[in-house]
Amino acid sequence: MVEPGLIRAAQSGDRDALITLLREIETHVYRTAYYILNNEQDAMDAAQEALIRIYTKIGSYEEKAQFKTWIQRIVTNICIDKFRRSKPTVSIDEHEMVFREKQNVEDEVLSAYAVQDIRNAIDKLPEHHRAVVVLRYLQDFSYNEIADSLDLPLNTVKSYLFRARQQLQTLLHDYQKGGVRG
Amino acid sequence: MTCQEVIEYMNRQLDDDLGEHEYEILIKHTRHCPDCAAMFERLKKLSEELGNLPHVMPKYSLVDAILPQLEQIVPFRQPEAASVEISPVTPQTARRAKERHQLRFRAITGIIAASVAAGLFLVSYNAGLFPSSGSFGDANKAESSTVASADMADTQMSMKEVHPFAANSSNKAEVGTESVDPDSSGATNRSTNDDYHVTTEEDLGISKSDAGGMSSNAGSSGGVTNEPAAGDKETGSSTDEAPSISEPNQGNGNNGSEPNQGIAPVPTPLQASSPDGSFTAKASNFVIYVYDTGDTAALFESERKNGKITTLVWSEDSKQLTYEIQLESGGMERYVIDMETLTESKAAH
Repeated sequence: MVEPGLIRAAQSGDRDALITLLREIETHVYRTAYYILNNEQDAMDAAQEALIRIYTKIGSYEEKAQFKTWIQRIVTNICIDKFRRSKPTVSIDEHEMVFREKQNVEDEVLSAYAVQDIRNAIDKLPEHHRAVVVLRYLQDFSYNEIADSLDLPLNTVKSYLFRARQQLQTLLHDYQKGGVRG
Repeated sequence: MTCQEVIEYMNRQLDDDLGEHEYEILIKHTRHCPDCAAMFERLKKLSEELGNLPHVMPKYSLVDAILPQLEQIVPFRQPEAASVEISPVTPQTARRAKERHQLRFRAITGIIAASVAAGLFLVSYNAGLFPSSGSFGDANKAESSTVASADMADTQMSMKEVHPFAANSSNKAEVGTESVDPDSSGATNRSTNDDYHVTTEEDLGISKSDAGGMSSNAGSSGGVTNEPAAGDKETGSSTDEAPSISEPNQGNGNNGSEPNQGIAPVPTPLQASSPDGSFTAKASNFVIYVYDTGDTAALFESERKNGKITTLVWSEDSKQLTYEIQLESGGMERYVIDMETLTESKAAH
C-alpha cells in the first residue's frame, strides 16, 4: 500500500516524504485503533500517538518486515498498552453471564442494527482476540501478517481468531434471540 | 471427525485456508450434522458482517493535527547512518554525547540544587538573613536570563528532540536545568564520564554558594516535576546519537523496536556461527535466518515456526544446522537445514 521508494526516502531523512507517508497510512492506523478501542476520541488519540511514533522510529524499520505489519504492530501496541481500560476484561468462557446482565441497558442505547451490535460484541473480546479480529477483517491481513504484527505464533493467531469468532457468533446469536432486533 | 474439529475447518474455510479435500470433509459432515450446518451458516454470516464493517475515517486529518508536534521532533535516522556514527566515535559525536551528558547531569544537579536552595532559602528566610524583596528580585532576573540562555543552548547543540507530549513542559525543564549552568559547570566538566548519581557534596557545596541565583530554580519547580519527561525524551533519541547513555527506559519510549510489549515475551535472539566460520545463523521472531558471514542479506530464511526456537547447533563440517522448536503444547520439534541444498527438513528426535 505504501511505495517502497517513499519509505526509503522517508528513512533517509526526507521529511516531506515522511509526512506524505504518514498521510497515506493515517486512515489504516485510525481504523485499527477505532475498532480495538470502540471509541472515537480514544481512537484519535491512539492513532495520533502511533503516527508520531512512526515518525520518530521510521529509521528503525527494516525491510525484511512488511511495512504494513510494522505499522499495525505499533498501533496495536499503543492501543493495548496505553489504553488498556479498567473495564473488566471478560474471560472468553464467562462472557455469557456478563452479557446477559448488561443486555437490557444496551437495548435502550443501541439504535443501529448489526454494525453497532458487532462493535459491541468485539468490544467484549479479550484485547488480543480483538486485535486479531480487527487485523483480519479491517486490514484484510493473513494469518502470517497478523502473527507478524502481534508477534504471536501462527497457531496462537488461529486459535484466537477461531475462538473470537465463536464468541462473537454466540453473542450476536443471543442478541437476535433476545428478539429486540431479530 | 468430531464436531469440534469440523468447526476448525469451518473457520479455516472462512479464511480461504482449506484445501479441496478438507473442504469435502467439511461439507460431508455438515450434510448430516444439522448442528454443524447451522453453526457454519452462522459463522459465514458473522464473517460476512465483519467484512462489511464500515471503513471508518478520522473526522479530520490526523497528520495535520500533529504537524506542529512533528516540527519539533527529529525523526530517527536509518540504523546504517547511526552505526557509522557510533562505532568510530567522531569528535563531533563525542562532543554531542558529552554535552548531552552534561545537560542531563545539570538537570540532576539542578534538581538537587533547587531543593537545597529551596530548603536553604526557607531556613535563611525564617532566620531573617535574606531580606525577602531583594531575593525575589534576584530570582526574577536570573529566571529571565536563563530562559534566553536555554534557548540559545538549544539551537547550538541542535538538541531539538522534544518529546511530543512534553513539548510545553520540556522548555520549563530546560530553564530549570540551564540555569544551574554557571554554578555547576565546574562540576560537570570535572566529571565527563559521569555517573550522575555521584552528584554529592561538591556540587551541593557549589550550589549553596550561590543561593540567591538558585532560588530561581525553586521558583520554576517545573524543572523538578518534569524531569521524567526530559528523561524520556532523551531515551527516545539516545539510540542513534548517544549510545553510551544507559538510562533506564521510561515508559514506552522505544516501542517501535520492541514490538511485543504486552503481547508476547520477546524471544531471546539466538545466534550461532558455523565451525568453519562461513555462516551465521540467527533466530528471530520464530524464523531462522542464515547469513554468509559478513553479508547482511539472508542466505536462507526458514518458514515461520509455531514455537520458540531454543537451540541452534552446527554440524562439525558446517554443512548442517540443527535447531529445536519449543511448541506451545510443550512438545519439541527438531529441524535440520542443509547448507548445500539450502533446504530444511523436519528431523526425527
